[in-house]
Amino acid sequence: MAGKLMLFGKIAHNIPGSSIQRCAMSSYVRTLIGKREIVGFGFNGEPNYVDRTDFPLPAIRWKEPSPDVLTLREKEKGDWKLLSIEEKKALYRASFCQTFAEFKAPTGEWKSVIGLGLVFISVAFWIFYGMKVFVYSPLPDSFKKENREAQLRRIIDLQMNPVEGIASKWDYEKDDWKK
Amino acid sequence: MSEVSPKVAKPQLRGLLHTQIKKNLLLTGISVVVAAVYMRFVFGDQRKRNYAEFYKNYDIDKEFDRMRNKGLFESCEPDE
Repeated sequence: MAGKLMLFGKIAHNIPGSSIQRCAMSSYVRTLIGKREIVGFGFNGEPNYVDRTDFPLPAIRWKEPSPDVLTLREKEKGDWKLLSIEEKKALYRASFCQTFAEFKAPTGEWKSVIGLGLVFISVAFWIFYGMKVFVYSPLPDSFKKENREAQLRRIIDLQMNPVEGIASKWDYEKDDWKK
Repeated sequence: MSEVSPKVAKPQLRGLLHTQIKKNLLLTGISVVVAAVYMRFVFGDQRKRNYAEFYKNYDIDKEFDRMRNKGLFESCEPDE
């Protein structure tokens, strides 16, 4: 919003300036990028530099202009076949921080992600054990072995799930599990 | 610029989403058909056979008496 007010200010006072784009930015942002040239809109309209595969066109050049780069820029306006490999690389590095190969290179971050995740899971296991020992009340009687056996005997006697479930695995003639 | 002697096949440059969706739709169709055939002819028929097998020689009165005599019902007494 401050940018838009400055824009109206420029039109009202007829301040000499190069482009509308340069004026539609606060002076604080301009101090952050130093002497770097703004070369486009960027991915969000701010004068930032990000190496992105999905938006490979940063708003500003990477390096501030130096006399060597400026002479190379003049040479770049002519036939590119006259540029040497070193000059082409220098021009690239002046405008960009890393090459695609460099910023797409694997970082191995997945190893720390999985490792830290497992560490937190182990801590959770310890916390659960602490809760079991110090916090939880004892289990009810129905969890005891004799109670669970009696419950299973009752389930079989009532022939629960007789077609495909538990009672289907019981042989009622022999009064034992089916072989 | 860089030296590439063997000829690399030209990659697909346009219609990438279209190709991806066509491939995904094909795989979806195949897996749907396979799953449906399995569920109907293998799983479903097996289940029907299990039920038929169970009810072929099922005597409900015998099972009822067995449970009653074990004292499992509240409304019916066991035999003496």
